[in-house]
Amino acid sequence: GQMNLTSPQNVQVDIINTNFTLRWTWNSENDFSVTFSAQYQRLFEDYEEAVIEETDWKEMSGCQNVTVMECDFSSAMTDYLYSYNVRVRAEQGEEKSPWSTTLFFTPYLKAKIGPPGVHLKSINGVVEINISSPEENLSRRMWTSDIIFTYNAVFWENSSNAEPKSRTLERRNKIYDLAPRTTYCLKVQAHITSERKVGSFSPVYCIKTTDKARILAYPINLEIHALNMKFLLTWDNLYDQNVSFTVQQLIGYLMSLPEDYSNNWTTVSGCENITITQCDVSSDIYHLGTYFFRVKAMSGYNKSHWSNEIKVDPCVVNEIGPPNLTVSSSEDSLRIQLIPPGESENKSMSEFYDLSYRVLYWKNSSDAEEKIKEEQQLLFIISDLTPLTWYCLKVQAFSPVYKKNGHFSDAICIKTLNGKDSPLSIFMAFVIAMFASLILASFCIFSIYHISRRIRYTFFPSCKPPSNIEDRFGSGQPFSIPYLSTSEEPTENCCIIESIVIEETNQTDIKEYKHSKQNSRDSGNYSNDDDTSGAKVLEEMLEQEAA
Amino acid sequence: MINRSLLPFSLMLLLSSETSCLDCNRIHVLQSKMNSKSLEHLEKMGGPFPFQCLNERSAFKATDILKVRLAQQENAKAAIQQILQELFQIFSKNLTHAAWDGTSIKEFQNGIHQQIEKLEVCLSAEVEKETTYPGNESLLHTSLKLRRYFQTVRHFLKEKQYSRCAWEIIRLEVSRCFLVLNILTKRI
Repeated sequence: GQMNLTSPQNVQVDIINTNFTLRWTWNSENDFSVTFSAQYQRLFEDYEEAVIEETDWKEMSGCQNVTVMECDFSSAMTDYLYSYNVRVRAEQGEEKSPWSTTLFFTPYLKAKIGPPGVHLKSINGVVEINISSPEENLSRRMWTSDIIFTYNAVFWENSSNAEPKSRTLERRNKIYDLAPRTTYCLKVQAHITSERKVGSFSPVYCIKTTDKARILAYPINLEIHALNMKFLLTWDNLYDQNVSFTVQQLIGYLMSLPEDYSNNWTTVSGCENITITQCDVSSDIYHLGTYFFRVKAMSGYNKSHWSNEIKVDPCVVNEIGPPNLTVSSSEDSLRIQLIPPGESENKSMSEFYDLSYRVLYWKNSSDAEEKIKEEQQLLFIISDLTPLTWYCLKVQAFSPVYKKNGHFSDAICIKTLNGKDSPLSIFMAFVIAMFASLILASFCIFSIYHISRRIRYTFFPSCKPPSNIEDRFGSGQPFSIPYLSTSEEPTENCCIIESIVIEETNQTDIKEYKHSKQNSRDSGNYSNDDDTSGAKVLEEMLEQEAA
Repeated sequence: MINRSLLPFSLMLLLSSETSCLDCNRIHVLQSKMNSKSLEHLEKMGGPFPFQCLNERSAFKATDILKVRLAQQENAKAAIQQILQELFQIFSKNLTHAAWDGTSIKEFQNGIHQQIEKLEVCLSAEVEKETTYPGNESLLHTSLKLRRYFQTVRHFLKEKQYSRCAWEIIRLEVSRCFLVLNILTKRI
């Protein structure tokens, strides 16, 4: 008999990394002779997201004659950044249902992030966590950049009821401060912050820590101290015997790459086989970028493991030293000239930071309060001070973007000058004023003389033009005066709005009009003939007033 | 649903220690510093554009990065981070034929990587504050356009088998990306 196949419903696409699954529903009784087939077409968009080209419908490989209501069509997808249309139909023998509604999608926008890979290792009480990206070592990748992901781990101690903790992880991590012979568990998810995409969690991984190594202990408590971009690495001395140390450095970004970086550690020059527990590592730090450092202890043939790795972000760990300053005083102000911190050592901190300066100043008496002034310039003046008074001040540099305050300079004290005018200065002022007024007066006299000559020459010329020239202009036309224009200046044809208003508002209350006329005159509201907008404004005003 | 999946994400942010030592409202200061330093490195790593590659220059037909309609103000940080991530990825592989100064490449990469991390701190803080997703659509579309552009860059290098001239052409193209970065930096 006749049997009309219905179209599949609720067509949807699920994408995890580069795995594409098509799903749909079909509202009919189970009939195993019914199969489903899907088609797709590619779309190409321009900058404005408008579709500019579409291909013909093609059969979707992986989704032909399937008997279940889902299929994997990953192999049909070639470009994840442009869009596709897909549709499905049911088929039974020769009979075919109409196509389902077309589903439009852009793989990259729809794709979800799969779980990352987690690899745990437990060595000598230290747990190593290595994370691989959700698509590590795959040739087809949805997320093309290795460093697009940040990893978030949730971890807990297996046997306790403590709340799970959460923290971001690097790709490579060494966790040192764990209890021995304890089982820890964790799960990790990847996310792309800039696109607000959060991936799914990995399975839970657990690992039991081992006892600490019985060999020479590795150095602990690595710290970096820096002043004006001079970096000193320090660590604790745990050792009774004679021990020497070696420091290594790794350029920061290598830690985020999937490749093995263990051969990229380099020994810091001057920090090899040293016997003290500190070393200057400045030579290996360039201020842009991050670095890792690690230390190893050696005693004879005994070697420790490498210490934990300390991450150094130069501008963050560095402390800004005090600026150099010179101060001079007048009667009511102090003039301050600064040299940025580090400039004397040829490493000006203004190269690395967005420096501003904070001055603390106070009267050098017991009950004086401190005042603060902030400046971006290297030369500035503190004014409104009392004459003949001792003032003290100190200055620090600070970087707003790093929220970092530098060290204060030593306090400098200076006395403001005498405010009263001495007889000598009065005399000097008098002489200068005399001299200045003399120059001014002579200048005035000279210019009056000059101008009057010009006027006389223009309006009352002493010499008449030769008679033949006068003839040419005709007797009727007087000889024109050169500095006066005779042609009429072009003027705009203007009128006062009032006249229009009268026409348009004749019907309205005349009293109201008079009131507004006053307004219009006050505001100088004039307009060209053909412009009635002014009138409209007035009209509105009238209506408002009437209301 | 989205909120629930973000819960562990925000928990993580509470524990993130780096947030405290950076004023994200002033991150443009660091960004413009990085832009100019990176351009310097780019210049230094290979010197002037070589003559023998002039003929091949026309071979690169990318959608023009300058024509990509740029992110709106609220998404400028995200767009900058995406561009930096793509640049970092491009310069991290197959550089043997480029014959460039190794130190300059490392410093270029390290500077970009550090800035990506700083932007990450600020972006995470922003995500934490968001309850809804303003401009999420436009954010993803900007991202899509940028990724399409960088896909053409990667395809070009692959097609030219990472030859010296292909790399030189891309080095030139990347300096144009920094123009876009400068524009975006002003919008942060």
